[in-house]
Amino acid sequence: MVKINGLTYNYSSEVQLTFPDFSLSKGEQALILGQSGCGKTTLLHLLSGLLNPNSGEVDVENKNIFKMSGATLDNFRGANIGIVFQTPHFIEALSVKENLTLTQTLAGNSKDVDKIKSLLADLGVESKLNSKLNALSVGEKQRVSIARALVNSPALILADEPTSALDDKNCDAVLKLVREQAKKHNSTLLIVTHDNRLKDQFDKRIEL
Amino acid sequence: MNILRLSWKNIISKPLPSLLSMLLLAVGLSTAIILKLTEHQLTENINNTGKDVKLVIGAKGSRLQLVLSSVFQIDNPTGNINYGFYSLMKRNKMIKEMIPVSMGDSYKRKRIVGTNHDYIRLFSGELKEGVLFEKPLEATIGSVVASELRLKVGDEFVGGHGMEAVLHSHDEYKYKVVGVLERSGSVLDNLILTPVQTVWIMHAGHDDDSEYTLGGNEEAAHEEVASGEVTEDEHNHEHHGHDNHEHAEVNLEELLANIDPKDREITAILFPNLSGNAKIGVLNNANNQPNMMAVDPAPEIALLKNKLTPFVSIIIAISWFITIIAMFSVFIGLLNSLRGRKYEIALMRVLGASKAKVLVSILFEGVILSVLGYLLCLVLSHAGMELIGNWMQNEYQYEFTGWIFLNSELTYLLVAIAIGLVSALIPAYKAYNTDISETLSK
Repeated sequence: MVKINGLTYNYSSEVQLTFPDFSLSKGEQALILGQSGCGKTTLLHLLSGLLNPNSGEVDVENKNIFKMSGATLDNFRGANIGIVFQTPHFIEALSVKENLTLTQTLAGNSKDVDKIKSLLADLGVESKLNSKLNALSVGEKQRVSIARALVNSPALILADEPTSALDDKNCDAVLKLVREQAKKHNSTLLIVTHDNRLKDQFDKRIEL
Repeated sequence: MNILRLSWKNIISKPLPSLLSMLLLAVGLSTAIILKLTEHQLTENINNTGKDVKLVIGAKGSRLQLVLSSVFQIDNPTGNINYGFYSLMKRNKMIKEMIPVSMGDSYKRKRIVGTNHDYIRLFSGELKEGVLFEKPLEATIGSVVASELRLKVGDEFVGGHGMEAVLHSHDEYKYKVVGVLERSGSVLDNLILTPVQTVWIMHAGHDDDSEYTLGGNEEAAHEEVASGEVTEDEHNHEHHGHDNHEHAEVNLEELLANIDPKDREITAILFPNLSGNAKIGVLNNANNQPNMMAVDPAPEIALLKNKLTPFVSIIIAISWFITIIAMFSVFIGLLNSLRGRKYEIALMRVLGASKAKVLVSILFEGVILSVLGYLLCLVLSHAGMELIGNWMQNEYQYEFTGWIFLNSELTYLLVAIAIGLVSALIPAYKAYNTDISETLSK
């Protein structure tokens, strides 16, 4: 389902990052661990096709994403990969609901408000449906960003340090939600983190 | 949630900068459109009013002033000429039509013009109610006069000497409204028309010479003469029998008969349908008279238009200046707004938006702003034109309205859209080229 093979990326002529080969089957949940500056975010951007590697291949859903280009890749990413960022960002001019419907339509799906409502309910933020983003707390924003990553039921969910900004209590809650929801949608989950609190909770760990 | 809606949401999430850009654009385009509307109506009025008058004869003075005062009813008359000359010309068989006009009096800033029925025909005036004036003191009034001064058939009013501010009123005699004209869009709408004889009666005994100026000093003396002379000898009882209409009529005829031919004056003679040898004949004849001149209105109007050209150019330049500032305002506004939204652009790309989609969404923002600016400009320019029109109507005796639409206004929509596109081009290109990975890593 996700396969990485011989992936390298040149930051500059001196610094070359080499990533270990690994593969994940459908619905599998894994952790990528590493200290700051070892290329965690770079790997995540490579996996989602936001960056081009120097060499190597990334297959998502049996498609080599680097063979796609331009709008095709953008479309593929929108429909098949959901990303949860370390700090949640949204289109500030839009409400929670509008952010999520935009996510649906940009991925080529039709608007489905019922799905959005049930997702928000699962994440405990259903009351925020029509709120503006600046009216939400950081924890609530992170939940909405998880909803956004899931709203198109993507094959792959990538999470970039989703818990590093949260305290222990919220860390556990968010992690639990992400894992539950990934399972529910049968999505493959890959969390990139340096947060050691998560270490023991995953069987599959890839160290950078 | 489509791209157009997203652009709209982004615009209204920053209402003040968006409003400023719209307003600047609207003001710039409005200036241009108001100018167009004015120019259009002015040209139409000038052409409608001036096209049928081939020659004007009046007292010596400024040629343009004679044309403006006697054809367009704008300026003060250059002076008066003797009615005897008109009578003399009337015998000339080569002249098919000639219209006397006699100005100098007004009622509540509306000009009273002594003339004949041909004057109404000249501007294709039609009666709405009542009849055309026949006897002295009868008045047929224009539609705007009727509506603004609330005059109707049967009403009476007292005219005054002077064109703008009434310097003294001729309260010995009252005008009686006998007819109201249909709105014609011509100079007739703002005039009070009466036989030339009315003017003589009003001024009987006034030592007017030929000057109807607005100067202050002579008017004091004027007043004395006025109240003194009309009341003398046989007209004494006039003051007592004012209300008795028939009585007054008899006396009017007597009064008219007693007016010295040298006091029977008119301001100018208009010649419609005059050309070729007849025109040359009249021209020579008039120009040989002392204190008289004949003027062809067409070249004078052309001269006037030429004089106005620099002013028109300046206003056009100002309107472009404002419009260009508006363009920069849209440009800077978008650039500013995008600087804060760089992450949002990257986010859209992550969510599946292609580069082209992002580009289009920013272009939409520029175009939406400019189309809204254009709509605002339509409101501003037509409401503004209506306001300016009301003011100009008093100044120029023409009706200017804001409620006409020119096809050329639609081209300004294209101008507005072009401005929106051009000012959004650089911001959109920047968004198009956003390095997603780098932006997200920050």
